[in-house]
Amino acid sequence: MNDLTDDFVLCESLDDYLTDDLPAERRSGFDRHLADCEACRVAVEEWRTLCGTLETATNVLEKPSPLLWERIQTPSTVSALPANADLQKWRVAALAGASLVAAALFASILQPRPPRHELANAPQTQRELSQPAVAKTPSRPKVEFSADVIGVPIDVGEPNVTVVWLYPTVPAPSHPN
Amino acid sequence: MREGLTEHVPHVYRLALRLTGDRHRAEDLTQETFLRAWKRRSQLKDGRAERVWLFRIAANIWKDELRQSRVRSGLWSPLPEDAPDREPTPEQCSELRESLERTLTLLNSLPVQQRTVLYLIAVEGLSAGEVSTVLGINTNAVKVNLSLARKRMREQTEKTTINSDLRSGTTSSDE
Repeated sequence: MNDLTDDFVLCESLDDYLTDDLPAERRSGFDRHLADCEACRVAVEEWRTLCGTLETATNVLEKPSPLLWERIQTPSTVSALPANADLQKWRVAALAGASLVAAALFASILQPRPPRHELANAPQTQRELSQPAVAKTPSRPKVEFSADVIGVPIDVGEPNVTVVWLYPTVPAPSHPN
Repeated sequence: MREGLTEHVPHVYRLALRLTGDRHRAEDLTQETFLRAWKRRSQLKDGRAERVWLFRIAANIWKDELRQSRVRSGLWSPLPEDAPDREPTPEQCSELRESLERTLTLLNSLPVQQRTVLYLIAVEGLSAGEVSTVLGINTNAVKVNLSLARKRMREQTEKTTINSDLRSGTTSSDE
């Protein structure tokens, strides 16, 4: 490789030199190249001036305001930008809720209904259903007794059991006089 | 908030300024970055890499924000001259301060990726590989952006110097 080609390759490395991305052995080669190449030397000088000016300018003119310091010192501050994760959670929850409501509506539409002629009786049925059930008195069998006894039914608390107390009819004793 | 993390606030804020181009958004982004960093502090194994880690969080939050709100950073306009934290001081009138402001204006007039790459390398001293990690672009793209940014800064600086010379020439001829 001749000197011209070497110089061209080194000039091409200028950006890597400026960003400290040149390996140490190539960096020392570039340092030597700077002595001979005015264009690169000017570029490096400009770069260093630019770095210094930008650093001073940002440090002097772009100081964070006291309010920002205050906001950052309090870790519990409310998120300044919408939190994506929270937003996503809310979206999922809202979607799930909406799906449940839609499913319920759909199910109520699909539920089988009685024909119209049956619907006419529906109010009565409803009324009957709404009334409280009344316990029916169990029918007791009618028992015939002979003339010489008197039957007195006794309630023992069991609807299907009837206990009858029988009293014999005794004729009154006759008086001798 | 941990002391070690808060020392990076000015650096993260300046990166946020490069990314958003707006002071209020930059403050919000910085706050959000530290909030997220605080929640994920257990993920940070290497304390030396703290700043790059914070930069990466900030860049990712901003990317998400852009994706969601479809904010076009190309619509960014230069920062207003009467920004609230630039209170008029006697020094403001000095030649040095004017020069610094001109440089910052030039930096802010670059496209977002160019100015961010330039800031991270020139001011924060990050390598091309680290910038690639922070911004999620490949190393070649970092170098191309840096080269373009340097070129534009040089051109604009020359233009500004010529204009300044012309103005001072006009003033002196008026006198």
